[in-house]
Amino acid sequence: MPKLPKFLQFASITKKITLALIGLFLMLFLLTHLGINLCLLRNDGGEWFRAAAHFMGTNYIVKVFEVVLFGAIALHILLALTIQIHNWRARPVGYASGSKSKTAFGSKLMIWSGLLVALFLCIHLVNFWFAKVGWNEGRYLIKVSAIEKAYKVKQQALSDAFIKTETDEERMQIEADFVAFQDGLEFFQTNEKLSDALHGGFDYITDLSKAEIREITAVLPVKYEPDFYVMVRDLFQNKWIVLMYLFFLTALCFHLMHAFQSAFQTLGMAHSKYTPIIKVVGVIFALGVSVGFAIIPIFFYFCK
Amino acid sequence: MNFTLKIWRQENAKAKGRFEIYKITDISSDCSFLEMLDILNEQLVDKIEKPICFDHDCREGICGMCSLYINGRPHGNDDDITTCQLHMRKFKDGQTITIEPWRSKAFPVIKDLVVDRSAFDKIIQAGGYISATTGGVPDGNAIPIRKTDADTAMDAAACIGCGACVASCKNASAMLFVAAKVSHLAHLPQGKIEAHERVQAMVKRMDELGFGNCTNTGACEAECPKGIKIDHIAKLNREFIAARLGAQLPKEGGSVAI
Ligand code: HEM
Ligand code: FES
Repeated sequence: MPKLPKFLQFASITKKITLALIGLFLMLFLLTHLGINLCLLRNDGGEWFRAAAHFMGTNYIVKVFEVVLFGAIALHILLALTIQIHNWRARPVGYASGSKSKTAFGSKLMIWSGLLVALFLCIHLVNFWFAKVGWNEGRYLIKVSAIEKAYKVKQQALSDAFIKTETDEERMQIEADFVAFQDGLEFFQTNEKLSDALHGGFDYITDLSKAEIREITAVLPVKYEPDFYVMVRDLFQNKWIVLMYLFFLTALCFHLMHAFQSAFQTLGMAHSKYTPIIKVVGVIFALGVSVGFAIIPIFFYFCK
Repeated sequence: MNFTLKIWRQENAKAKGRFEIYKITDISSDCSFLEMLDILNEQLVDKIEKPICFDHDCREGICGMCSLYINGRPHGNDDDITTCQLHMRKFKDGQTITIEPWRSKAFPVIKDLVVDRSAFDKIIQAGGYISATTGGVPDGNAIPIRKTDADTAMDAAACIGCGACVASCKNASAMLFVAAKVSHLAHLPQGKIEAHERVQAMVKRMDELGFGNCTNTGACEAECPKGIKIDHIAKLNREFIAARLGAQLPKEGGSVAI
């Protein structure tokens, strides 16, 4: 194996401790993510979930954390692979008889459950995050208040421009623009989805396609967001996708089952009083998180 | 009792090894495992064949010399014992017994079932001792030590350095061995003085020798003939963290001052 440069050669324990700390951070992320996702179960047509998703999509602190999170995941995978490859190489000739030693079962699965989680992460990003960054066509939503705001801004801009005009030609041009703008707004009245939302007192216009967004933004430069609620609902109508999510969540469950308690041991926290508690909490955490996430595809498949 | 033995034979460190099958009959159930191998070796010598090499010394479970990976477990299918304390009554009559050397990059096979465990000595040389002042014998109990500390240190000190932890670990990690030595000394006032330097130097040496990392699998504590617990590995990690956060790093290139 090529030797790493000196500043990248870390002690085995340093690597494990870093892996454990990152792992614990990722667990906090899972809890946050789960908390937001459980809003999907509330029977409010996605109001809470959309509010949470809006916050997560627009808050600047969250945006910084998103970068930190991607870095953490990359580092966790990098460290895990480095450690695992080193471990495989530590026994170049294996045993003919399989090990009969009593061991923590989940530990032997860590690299495989981890790699499954990594694969899941990729699929999950394609399913949802790609729509957010625009690499995939998703469903979108627009806030009604944003339309009103954009309308006022545009109107103001036109009247400002009108005041500044000097020649008749310019004035006619602005008038033409204004008429075009008013004509464009017809679209908001004639399109059923839009007028329902505008007159029905809703907060959002939801479930918009990219084409609809293009039509709207052609008239009004209004901000839009991915409509994750609708994307979730639509995605989990497919039985195979639901089963795939359940399979990967099982892998996550196995990973967390060993990881939680193992992280504390790695950080040197072994105690006759507290370790049994940590082990129980670890099992509850692993089951809670994976079952919590699993409820969502099941719920949408059967109930929506 | 009768047994079929499947034993790893390897001429020398460089040779390519292979399993050989041996039949052995009329073994007393009270025979120890190593005695059974002695009987087999006598029979081989009578037939002018090369006897099987295996490590042993005290034959009472205290020196740490005997080894052998027997049917998937270091020191065989019993808890808290060394191979020399294993008896044939633990096996079923007519059973096939597979006997392999410890397998680890850091423990190369020398011949047949004998491996070179001097990697452990090198780790000890890196810091597994205290720089004691010589002179008159100090009074016993002159330094007060908490009972729980003394007991924990004693538990760790039970390590005989046989290498079963490395042999059983799926990563061939030496963490339980290093942990036992570090924890033993770190729990005692005499050992605390050099604790920071010791843990860093021993872990560094352990890494250099090609042992794997600990993944908290627990095979080592299940197989340790002295029942040393992985709690000591947590202690090792704690000592390491404390040392890295609190101590000065060893000087570049130079040896650690212990
Ligand atoms: C949200 C996702 C994840 C969480 C919460 C998580 C959490 C953890 C934690 C807490 C540990 C324990 C560290 C220790 O034993 O000290 C760990 C270990 C590990 N993780 Fe992850 N992990 C995640 C994703 C992944 C991924 C994507 C991989 C892909 C390779 C991976 C591979 C591993 C491996 C190989 C270990 C080593 C286990 C060991 O040393 O026994 N993990 N993980
Ligand atoms: S021969 Fe001494 S411990 Fe087994």
